[in-house]
Amino acid sequence: MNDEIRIDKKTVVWILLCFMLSRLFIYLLTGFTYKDYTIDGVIDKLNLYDAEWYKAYVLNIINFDFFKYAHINATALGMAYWAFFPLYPICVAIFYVITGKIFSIYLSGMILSSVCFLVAMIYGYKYILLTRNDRYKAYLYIFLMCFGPYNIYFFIMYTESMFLMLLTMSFFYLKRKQYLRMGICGALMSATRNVGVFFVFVILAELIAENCKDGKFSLSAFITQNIKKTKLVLGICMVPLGLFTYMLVLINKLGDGLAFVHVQKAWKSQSGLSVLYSNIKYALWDNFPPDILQVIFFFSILLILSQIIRGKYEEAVLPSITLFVSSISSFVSIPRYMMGMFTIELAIVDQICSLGKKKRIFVVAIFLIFAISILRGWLFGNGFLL
Amino acid sequence: MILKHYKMKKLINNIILYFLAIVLVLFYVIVLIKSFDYSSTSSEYKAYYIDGTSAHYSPVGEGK
Repeated sequence: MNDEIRIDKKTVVWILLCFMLSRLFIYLLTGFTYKDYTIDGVIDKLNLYDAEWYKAYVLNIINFDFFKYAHINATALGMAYWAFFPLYPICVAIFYVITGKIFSIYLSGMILSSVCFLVAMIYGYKYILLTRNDRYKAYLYIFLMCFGPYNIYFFIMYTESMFLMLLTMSFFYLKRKQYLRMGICGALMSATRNVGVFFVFVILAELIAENCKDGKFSLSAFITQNIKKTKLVLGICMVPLGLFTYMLVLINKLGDGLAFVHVQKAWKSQSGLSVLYSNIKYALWDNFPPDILQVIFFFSILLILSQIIRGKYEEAVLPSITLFVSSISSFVSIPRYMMGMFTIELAIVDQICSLGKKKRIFVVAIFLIFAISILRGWLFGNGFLL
Repeated sequence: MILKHYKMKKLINNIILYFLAIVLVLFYVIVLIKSFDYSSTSSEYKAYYIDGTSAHYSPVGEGK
């Protein structure tokens, strides 16, 4: 295992080039679609749906009033912004205030998202070199993250970039056995999105895989070996800290620590295994051929299975849990959750790199065409279908 | 002597880390228990989100 992974100039140029060109492309496409190339016009057209919720969230934080502003939908159905986790809006609010409010809230969010995304790319590159020792894969990963499908979510005021950054850093520090740093990133991740808390299971999978290197698993040896690693124990215990701190805030403000769960009622009518069965049956029988969300659901399962076959169990854990938790209520947002999952993009890169050169180019071209059509769909207001 | 000092320092360090881990676990247990106590929740909130006895609810202006 490499002791130190440094980012060379060539890599920095590649990351910045991909980042700048992809953002310029999104900007121009938005401007072209609406015949409005002004910065404010493009920003307003891009920041839809959840971005509007985050804006209300940021305004409440700035005013130190938990209930002052609400999204317009909040009035009838019981939708409320406490369904969204607070770290990202808090950071946007801080950035917005310390820059003297010279940028709009949306632009502040987009700048923060972009910074997080760039950090995520650096750590993604380091992680791939650490685990795969393949620079080509690392560059392809950066390229697909910048230009690939659903790249829009890493640009606008959504939590995707911050979650991606913290997840990538957590994976990197886990592999480097820097458990306290991993714990800090994990704690911040569980304050960014609820599924962040499940990183605990990624750590367990990694430890079990390490323990099983000789083909045998001994529970007593597993416990005695790992309980001695004090930094590991504390690192694991730190991961849920973000979630539980948010729960404490909800207890104080609403008297309900699970308010972020209960508020889901306003968005989704039902959830459970029966709903998952109905969704799969609907995709494969009633609504055959399946729509884009259903195709991505099955595609994600295949990618998770491919990682399991490759022995990358720890990389398969979080997408599996996220996919399950999301799909027991609805397939909506699954593409966004999966693409922001880091290891799913890695699985795609692993699969592409196992192909011949011509097939690789063909698959990457398909991805780019798909990415453009997704972006157009977003701009035409099909956000909930993506 | 240096080795003994090093071992002592390591032991104290480990005790602090274990202590912090225990404090965190206790914090989680307390928050979890308090999460299922709805005594301070407003009646409208409880009726809509938790009991399901109300069909409409507006979170605007909510708060204990």
